[in-house]
Amino acid sequence: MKRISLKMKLLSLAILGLGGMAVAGSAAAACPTSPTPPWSGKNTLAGNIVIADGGYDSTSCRLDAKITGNVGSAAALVRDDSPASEPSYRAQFLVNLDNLASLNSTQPVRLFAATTDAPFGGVPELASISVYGNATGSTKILGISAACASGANNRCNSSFTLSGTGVQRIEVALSKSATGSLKVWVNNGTEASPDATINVDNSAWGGVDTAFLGLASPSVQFRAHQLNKVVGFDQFDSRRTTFIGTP
Amino acid sequence: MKTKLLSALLISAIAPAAFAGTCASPTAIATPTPSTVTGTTCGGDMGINLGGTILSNPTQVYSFVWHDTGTTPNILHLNSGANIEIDIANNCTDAPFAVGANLLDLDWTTAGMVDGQTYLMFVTIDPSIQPHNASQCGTFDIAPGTLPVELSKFSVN
Repeated sequence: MKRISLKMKLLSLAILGLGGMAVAGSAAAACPTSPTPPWSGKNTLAGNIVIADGGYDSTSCRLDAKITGNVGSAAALVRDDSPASEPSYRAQFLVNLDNLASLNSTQPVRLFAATTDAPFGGVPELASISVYGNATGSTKILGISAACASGANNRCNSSFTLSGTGVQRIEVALSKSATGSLKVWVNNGTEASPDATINVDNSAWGGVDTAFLGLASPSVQFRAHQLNKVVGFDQFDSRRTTFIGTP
Repeated sequence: MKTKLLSALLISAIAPAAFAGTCASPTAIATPTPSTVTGTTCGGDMGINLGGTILSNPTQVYSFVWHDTGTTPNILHLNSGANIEIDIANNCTDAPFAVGANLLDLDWTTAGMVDGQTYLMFVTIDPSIQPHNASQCGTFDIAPGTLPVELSKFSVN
């Protein structure tokens, strides 16, 4: 367990390290052309990812993702394989959704997922975060979904309405047991007050084996209205138990 | 050659819809028989995770051996099947490298496939369509054209 914990922390440091690699006078040199390593892999089926200059929160680089093809299988994401059947898992990332103008309730797209290699009921996503909008497209909403034995189709759902624009700091904490939970913090550094909590029985599932950060499972209406719109990601960090919070 | 012919005859004698191609036991497809792949996604695997492309709706899994003839149009066309999507991947965990759907023929001419290697074809309902449950399924009819494949595995459960 200790070895895996170290591995997860190393990934975090490696990504944070990208932010410290800025070369004065040559912004392009600061950012690598490929996300692997430190990421384990990527998926750009009908999608595209680019490591772009200008990170969020004092970093030099960010990950720009966009869906380019009109298929629900499309993805523009990176993968972290360092977790190993983790019963307790936390992850945090920054995301800028401003380019998804007029995103409404019919246009969900996934931003993050933590999956297991030992799924139950055909559901590998122990936790997933998506974004969609309200009916008029004036407000963006996070869709929060957790694997659970009691919910319809083995999923239990919640949501959180985002306020304002710009970069959002999102943290998730998953615990796996008969009295497990998925908690989510949004621009919130107070561990005792998560912005959303789903209490679940996810004991039938395995622990977290993989995390995916980026765009995936774009809905039909997302593809109709948000194709080629860039969503920026940065500062991914994952841990077993320690609250990450705000810097 | 004798084995291949016998296998092709067996394939043609059994309706493809009778197969339940799964990751554990994909259904082998052959050329020239059958010339099209028809069936239903109902009863297929759910939640296949192809490198983050999660096929949350029932999915039929096929295997085939790629042969690069150099002249064959390497396209899969979806003749029918509401909201059906087709993904091609190396296995049941890697991200797909080619995708097709209604009005979007699957073209793998630039996919870098290796001659003689086995690949998997996943047929499913658009994974973004909810709810994700066993009833989110339907029939399909895929025309592989002159897909240059040969039977790689066959079994009757």
